[in-house]
Amino acid sequence: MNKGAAGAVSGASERYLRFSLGEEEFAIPLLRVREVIAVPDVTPIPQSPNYFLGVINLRGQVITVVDLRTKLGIKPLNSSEMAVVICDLGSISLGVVVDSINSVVTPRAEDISERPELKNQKASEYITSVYRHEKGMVLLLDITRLFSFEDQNTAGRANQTGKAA
Amino acid sequence: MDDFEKELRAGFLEEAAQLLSDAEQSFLSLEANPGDATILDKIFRLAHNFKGSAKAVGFEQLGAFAHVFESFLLKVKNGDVERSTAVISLLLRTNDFLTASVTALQGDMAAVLQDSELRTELEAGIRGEFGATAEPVKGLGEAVASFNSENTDVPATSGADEEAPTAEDAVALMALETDRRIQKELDAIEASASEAVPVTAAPAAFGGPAKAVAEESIRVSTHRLERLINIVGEMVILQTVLREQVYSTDPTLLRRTAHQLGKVTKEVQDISMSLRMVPVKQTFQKMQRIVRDTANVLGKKVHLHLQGEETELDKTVLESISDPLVHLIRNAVDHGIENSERRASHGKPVEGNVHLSAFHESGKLVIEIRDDGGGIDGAMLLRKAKEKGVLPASASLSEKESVNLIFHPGFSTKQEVSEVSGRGVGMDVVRTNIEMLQGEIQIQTEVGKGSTFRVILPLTLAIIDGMVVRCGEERFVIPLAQVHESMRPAVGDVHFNVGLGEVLLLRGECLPLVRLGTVLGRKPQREVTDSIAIVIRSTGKPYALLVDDIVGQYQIVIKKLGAELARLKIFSGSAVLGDGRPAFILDPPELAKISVPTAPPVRNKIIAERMAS
Repeated sequence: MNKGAAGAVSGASERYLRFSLGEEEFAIPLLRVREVIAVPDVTPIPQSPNYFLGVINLRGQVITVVDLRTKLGIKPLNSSEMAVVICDLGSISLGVVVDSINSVVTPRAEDISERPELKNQKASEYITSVYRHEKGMVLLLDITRLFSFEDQNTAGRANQTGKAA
Repeated sequence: MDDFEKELRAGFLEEAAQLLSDAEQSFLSLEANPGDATILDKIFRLAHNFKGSAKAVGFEQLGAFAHVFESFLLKVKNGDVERSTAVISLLLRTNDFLTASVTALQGDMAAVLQDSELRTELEAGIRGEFGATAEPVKGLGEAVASFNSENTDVPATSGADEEAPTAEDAVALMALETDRRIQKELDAIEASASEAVPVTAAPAAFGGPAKAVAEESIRVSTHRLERLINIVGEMVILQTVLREQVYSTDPTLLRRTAHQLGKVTKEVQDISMSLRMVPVKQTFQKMQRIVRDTANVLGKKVHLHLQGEETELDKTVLESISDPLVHLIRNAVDHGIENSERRASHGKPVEGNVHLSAFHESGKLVIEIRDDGGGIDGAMLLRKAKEKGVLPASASLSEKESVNLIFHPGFSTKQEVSEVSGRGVGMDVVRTNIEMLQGEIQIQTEVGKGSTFRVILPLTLAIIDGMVVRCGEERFVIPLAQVHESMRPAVGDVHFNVGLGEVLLLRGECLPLVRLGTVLGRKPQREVTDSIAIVIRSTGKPYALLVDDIVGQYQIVIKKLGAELARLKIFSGSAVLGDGRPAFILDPPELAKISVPTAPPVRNKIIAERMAS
């Protein structure tokens, strides 16, 4: 299911869910999306990175909700259209807060270009490619990479050692 | 033979059929890749399990035969016997013989097996004289034929000539037979044995060579089932009532129905959860027999003490833990308990003791196997490991690491191979099986005093009683079993000491005080006298956990934390509370670990750092 950068560029018929974070538009493969829900009450998670918003009860299942805007350093709009996208990442399900859900798009291969190489941008390593359309551009996100949790684990460890010191 | 024993044996036969079909697949893949050591390891384990279980339930003859088989396998494994097609055929025939035996025993538990033919052949193989092989069909046929005469279940063909029963059973075995050579010879016989059809049905029932996916089943007492059905009936009625009341104007009626429905739902939940749970009793009692028999073989006197037999465990977990337990118990008797003279010379009572207990601890099930034997000598293990070349001679290990060497595959501490143990297959299988269940095994040992093996298993489906506490705006669950007492500290009960941090004086006892808020990285909250101290004693060192308030006690369904939260060690899981919002379940032993009492200035610094970040 996981299409890397090359797959996204060549695989033209894949569908994406387009959403907004702040003023910017992003998209993730539709196959990764389980459902979209309104922002529910969350229970905060102590001792976790700041982009971990909390856990929610989704019909008896406890799911962690993260705020991509915090993670990518985007200023939130906090609009009334805020929603949580429940993503299926194989072994885990994760809720992602977005400012608004826009549409489902099926970009043609020629409208997708490779991401520009910008070493210093925080978010650039999670972007697989860029989809251009008449009104602007949409960044296609590699959601599995975004939440591989390796970086976060090390952050956690750093936190622990900081505590012990 | 009493009913209980019969049940055990029937259970074993079912398991054995599965083991044998696994083994057959492995033999076949071995033929394809003779060099693959992992396949042989697997077969070896299967044979070892088979032998152990057969003996445990009292199938002495089958066990003895399996022992010979295992010894032969060891030769093959060590490369003393060439892995030729002929050898594989012999292995397959042995496997078939065992399968036929198991089928026969399923029909009649007192059936006597005629294993002499194959046994001689295997023993010859062990002595390294493989090659003078008996004609395969003859060996097989004869074994089965003599089998047949002892077995009331298989109808003997009346007035048939000498060859008829052989043919009949050979056809029966064909369902499992994979050796083409034999098959070819049998084809002719098959043609003349049309009456054999009813017999073929028996082996076909347990799968045949195409390994059937075993349908899992569970035995539930009709009493429980009836209760469930009754309650569900009540629920249906309440639902009807509710539908009527939707249109009524009286809210009290509706409230009452909702309340009743709540009660009924809880009951349904309790019963349905209990359907999967079975007490460890049966598995534990199986161990009595194992201890007795193992001790008899070794000429030792050992008592097994059982505790917590009523502890319930998810059936699938219990089944998978059964074999590892057998290994651990046998090891305790064989390696753990010293022989009588040695015990006497060390001033211990001649009779050894093995304690087997099960209990819940912080949402996990713990099975403990404790013996008062000689303990494990880490230094000796290390030396042996170096001798065997498992470790380089220069390796240096800590005491604990050395003790853990017993989990190394192919490592045995026994000087010689006994019938009971000492081939070095046991412990690595034990650990693999336990780890497959997401469990953990720990060893505590003291030379001369004895060893304790702790098998810690998660209870994924468990419902626990939890105490819901509040800290700031958040609620947390503490497993009720961990709560020793709760109290509101009075003025002067809490002291600050630079060396110890905050302590709570409780009836003359000094308990370290851990503020939950501080652990969670909050600013110091309200006054101590406004809070509640919860005394936790289940951990090694007792301590008091300071929370803002107690919300109540509830039944909690434990939900595992996802991988993204796995690093949060202080939480053992999450739960959905009455208002539908999730809360985290605290793990008090872990809390005690991370909140080693430190002086407040340091804590404040950390808090300041957190705030800044």
